[in-house]
Amino acid sequence: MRAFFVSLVLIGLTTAIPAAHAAGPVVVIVNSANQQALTEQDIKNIYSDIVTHWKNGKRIKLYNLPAEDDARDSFSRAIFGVSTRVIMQEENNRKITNSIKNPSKTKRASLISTIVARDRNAIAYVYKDELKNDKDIRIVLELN
Amino acid sequence: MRALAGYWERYAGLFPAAITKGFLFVWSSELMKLCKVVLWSLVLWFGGVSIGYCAPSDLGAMEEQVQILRDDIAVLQDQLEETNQDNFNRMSISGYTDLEYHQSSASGVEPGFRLHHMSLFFEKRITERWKFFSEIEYEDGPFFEGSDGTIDEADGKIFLEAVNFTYFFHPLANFRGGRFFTPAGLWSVDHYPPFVPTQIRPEHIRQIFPQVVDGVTAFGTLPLGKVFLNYDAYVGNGEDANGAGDNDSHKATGAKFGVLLPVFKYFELGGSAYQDTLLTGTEKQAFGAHLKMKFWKLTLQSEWANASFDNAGATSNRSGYYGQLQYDTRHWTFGGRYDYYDADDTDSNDRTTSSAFVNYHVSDAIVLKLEHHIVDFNDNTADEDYDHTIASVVIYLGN
Repeated sequence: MRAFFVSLVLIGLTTAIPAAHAAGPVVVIVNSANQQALTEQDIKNIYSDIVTHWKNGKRIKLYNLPAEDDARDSFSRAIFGVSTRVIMQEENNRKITNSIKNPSKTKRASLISTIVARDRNAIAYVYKDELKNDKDIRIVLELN
Repeated sequence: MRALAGYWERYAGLFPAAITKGFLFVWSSELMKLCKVVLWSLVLWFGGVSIGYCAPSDLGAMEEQVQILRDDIAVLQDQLEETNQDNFNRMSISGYTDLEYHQSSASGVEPGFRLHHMSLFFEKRITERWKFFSEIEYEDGPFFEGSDGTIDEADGKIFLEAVNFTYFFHPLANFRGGRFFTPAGLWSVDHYPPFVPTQIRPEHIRQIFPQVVDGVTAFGTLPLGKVFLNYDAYVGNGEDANGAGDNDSHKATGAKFGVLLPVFKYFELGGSAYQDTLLTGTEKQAFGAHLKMKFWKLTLQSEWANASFDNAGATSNRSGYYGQLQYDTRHWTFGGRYDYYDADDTDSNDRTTSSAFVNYHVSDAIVLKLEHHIVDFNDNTADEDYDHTIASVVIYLGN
């Protein structure tokens, strides 16, 4: 019986570790060649479709995570103070009212780092633990 | 090995020669084997040690290379899927639909279902700078049947609500031509059922500024430090015209601006203006103001508008305003609205509507709504006050 409970504790610990991993900080990232300083308000303006171009005149390539990704909800709540649902509805509203200027692309988290590392005009966000190609990426904001 | 054999031969003379020779033969062959084993062991040991020293760094580098290749393949696959999608679905199609159940205390209105909207949007980003957009709206389950050149039966409405081309020139100045929603206030543009809390719009919307404009517009965003100024300026045929052309030489003109301030979660304050000469010769001038702000989980939205009509010195005014407050959670929206509308200030037909609403967002694309409106007419009119309740399911067919 004791062994059974110990096993349970061990299983619990092993399953708890990934959960703790997924709850790490979300970071907003750009390509390392992009040295433009960005504040939280700037990021909000970019993801609100108010600012559509970098200061060098290039169109911003905007990336979002899928709706069901927890990192997206963390990002929405930290930057906009509302849930992903509200943000997605606002973007969909801009689409069908034809007022959207710079639509975002949705990519899964495993691709985000590589895409940003390759594209000088990209901006995205992802769990810090899921970052790859660190040398080609610059973290502009860490959201706790 | 030969030296060892000679040494043994020299000192083993005390043994009988046959024994000695036989033993020497056996011993030397075994020794040879032993030496071979030792030598191979040394070679393998040094090899193993050297591999052991090299392995961690080499394997690490290889794993890194493999991971980079995996990432490259994943990105290429993703791009391929995107390209295939673009090839097969160059025109993006989306839409929305809703089903309502109405219950009203107004006389002569029976409770029942309404197939209110079925709208289809066609959008194509032709190039980086050019974009096409259109919306066809089917309202109230349209039905048309005719014979011999005449319509025998007609129900519902089919309306080409938008069809236009946009040229994205610069964030400061972009251009659009065709039919587009009149840039005026908030609800004129942001009016679609999946994204507004009620199926019924405030009364003055579309009564003061027209619903659509057939013409051209310039629009853009001007950054002023941390503040942003959005603007639209347009010219069109006017509200009496249709898609076939203008019916008078006068053109309608209008403009809208909105100032976005970095306060609260969202803060927009703006104004709208419009002028047109109607078919009757009446000069129409309209002005409006709007405010939208978000703080905590609340959104406050308000609009005011007034149109003045002048026909050879005979003047009248039409005006309206509303204030709406809503509270949003992950799945729910609760709120209320107070709405005033006066179609003509020369008579006493003004009315107010008090509304309460609850929305349940099943997902970002499906909303269940319940709304209740209390319509209160000016006591001097013959119109009777009434209540109106609507339960609805609204689905956004986006992509």
